[in-house]
Amino acid sequence: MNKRKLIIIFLALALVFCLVNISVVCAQTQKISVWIGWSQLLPVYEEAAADFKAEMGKDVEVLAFPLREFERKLAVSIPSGNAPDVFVTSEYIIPQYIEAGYVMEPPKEVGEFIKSSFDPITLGINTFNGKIYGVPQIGIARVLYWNKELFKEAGLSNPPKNWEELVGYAKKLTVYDSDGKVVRSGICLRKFGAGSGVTEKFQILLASAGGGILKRTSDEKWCAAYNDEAGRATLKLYIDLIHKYKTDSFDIKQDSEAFALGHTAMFIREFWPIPYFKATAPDLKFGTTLIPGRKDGKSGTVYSTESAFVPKSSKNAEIAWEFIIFFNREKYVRKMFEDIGWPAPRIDLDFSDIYSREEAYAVANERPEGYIYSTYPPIPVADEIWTKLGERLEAAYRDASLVDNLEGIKKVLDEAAIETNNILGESDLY
Amino acid sequence: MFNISAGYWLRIKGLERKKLQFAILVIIPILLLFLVLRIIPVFGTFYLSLYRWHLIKPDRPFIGLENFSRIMIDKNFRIALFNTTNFTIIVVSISVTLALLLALALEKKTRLGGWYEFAYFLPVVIPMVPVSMIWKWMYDTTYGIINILLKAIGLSPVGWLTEPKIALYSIIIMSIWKVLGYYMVLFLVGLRNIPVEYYEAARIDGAGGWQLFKNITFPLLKRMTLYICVIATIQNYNVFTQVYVMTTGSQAAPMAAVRVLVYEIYQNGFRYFKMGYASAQVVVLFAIVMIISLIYFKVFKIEDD
Repeated sequence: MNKRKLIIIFLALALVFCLVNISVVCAQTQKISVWIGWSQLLPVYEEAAADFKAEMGKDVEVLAFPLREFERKLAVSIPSGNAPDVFVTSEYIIPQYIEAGYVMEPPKEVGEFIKSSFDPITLGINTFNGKIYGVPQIGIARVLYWNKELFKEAGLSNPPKNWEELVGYAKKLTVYDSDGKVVRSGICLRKFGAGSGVTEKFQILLASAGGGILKRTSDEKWCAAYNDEAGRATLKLYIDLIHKYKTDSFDIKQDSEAFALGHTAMFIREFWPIPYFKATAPDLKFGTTLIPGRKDGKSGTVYSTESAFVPKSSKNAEIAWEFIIFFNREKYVRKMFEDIGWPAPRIDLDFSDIYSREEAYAVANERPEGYIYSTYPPIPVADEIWTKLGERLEAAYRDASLVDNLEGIKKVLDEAAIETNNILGESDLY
Repeated sequence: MFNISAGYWLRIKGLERKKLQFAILVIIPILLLFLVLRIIPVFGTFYLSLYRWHLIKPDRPFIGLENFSRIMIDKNFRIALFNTTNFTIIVVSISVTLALLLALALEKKTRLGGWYEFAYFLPVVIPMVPVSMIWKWMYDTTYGIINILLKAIGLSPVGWLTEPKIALYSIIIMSIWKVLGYYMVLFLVGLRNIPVEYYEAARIDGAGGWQLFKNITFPLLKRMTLYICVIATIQNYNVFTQVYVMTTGSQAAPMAAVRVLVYEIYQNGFRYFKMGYASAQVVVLFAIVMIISLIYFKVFKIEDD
């Protein structure tokens, strides 16, 4: 084969390559991509995408990734202009993208839909510099799960209403073996597992004591808030439940898995365990309740949301907003709630039939007066603060010397607060 | 070493020059690929380490060596460096020693030798993620097979992954099991390349087993041992997958006890998006591994044949 033929073959191949790519790009102009970080939501999104195609004639490609991978993908794709047309993320992830100017404001009609459809708490935590950028999809308050049969067995008929009852009930519900080791915990607290989850669970009980992880000191400045009286009381509660009363253990099954297996009588979580229990432990008799307050009549929990956003780089923004509104139809909202355990904080929809079918969902949209909804602050370093505080809490939870040692507890929280404030300071937020 | 002078190129004529041109032509894409995928990222990492480079924020100021001075006072980095060094020393020393002993035992071809080689090599071909999942289950405090066996013989169950003092060592055990077969096969290759005549001559001179090993086997395995030690050190300083899979989640290990360097770098780079700081940590890791590798070369003192 001579040189000329080789060049002709090479040029022909290059031409085919270019044509294929151009045709792919052209074909994609009427197709939008949606990225989500929760694979359990995928079936509902896919169903909505299929219905959207049938009804509107426009293609939607939905991709789900593991949460951390999803966050990394966003971090790489949004600044480089390769983001999907729609992405669903939480109020503590989005501020950095809004601040950098990557996120589009919704059109007027979408803005009106948001304002008329969601509860004020959800709207409040999704407002950045006076504007709402995304359409909330999910709003989740953390609740206390209690095993009705184990409660009955221990002579208890109702879930605890305050910390005193929480400790007393946990003591009654704990089962030990002949060596005094816990084989069934009265309450399973989140004690370890790398990541911000440890702090989030601490934050729940902290909110029920009237405290918070951070507080604003001015419009743009924050500082650690958990090293106060409420924070010390919360850490003391953990230490007492683990070491003083031995109602929990590091050496048995933890979290929802433990609850499904009957290895714990109480634990705190979102609503996704409800369908999980139905599938894995259909005979489990359980209930959910608001987080017991430190004192009667005053309590709180952690509340977080996931909203759908459109990046400024989207070439199909109109279709993207159209799909977001389409996905907010009652059919999909109900599926997300009942089938997956992800409630939408909608004030324009009636979910009473769902509550009658599954009583445990009834507290999902309860908003008692005076109840504190502790949220993630809209700052980019929230995850780092939560993760690093979590690691310090993990170590503290294992430290039996903190029993009845208020000075020790104070030292743990004060040292952690210095680290938190340093992280804030690095981003000029302190 | 090749010593190609300008005159050499001038002397190449006709068909040879065409062959050379063709060779260069076909190697250029590979070199370009290597440049883009390897060389540029390495220099890019050095470059990023001098900046406060946040993945999302558009403002990325030059800060000189500030990232490196922060590393010096970063408690998490110190814990990670200690844990990773501890991990590497234990895994490399135990796995290389065991692999050598196994290779010596399996060197002579016996009826079951092939089966043993297969059994030891099997973990190597299984990807790290499923292996880590299997071991996570085996280490489970309540339902893990190891604790079930311990209970069966009257011993108390152990929190293999949940007890801070044990967690890292549990991962070390799994990591040794995973790589043992690979190093064993490499040693077997080295052993089978030693001419039998050397042993025969030494035996005629009255050498015993230990003398044969000390004076023939080990000196002739030096190159292979050096290679294994270097790759083992690099691999183990880069330990990540098994730590990530086995220790994250609500049933998992306390973080500080199993914090390793690459996990720390991953956290800073891809979780907190501090690419500049993470790059500085990568540069430090690179320097550590490079220094250790040079020490190996010095210790093994291999002269050219």
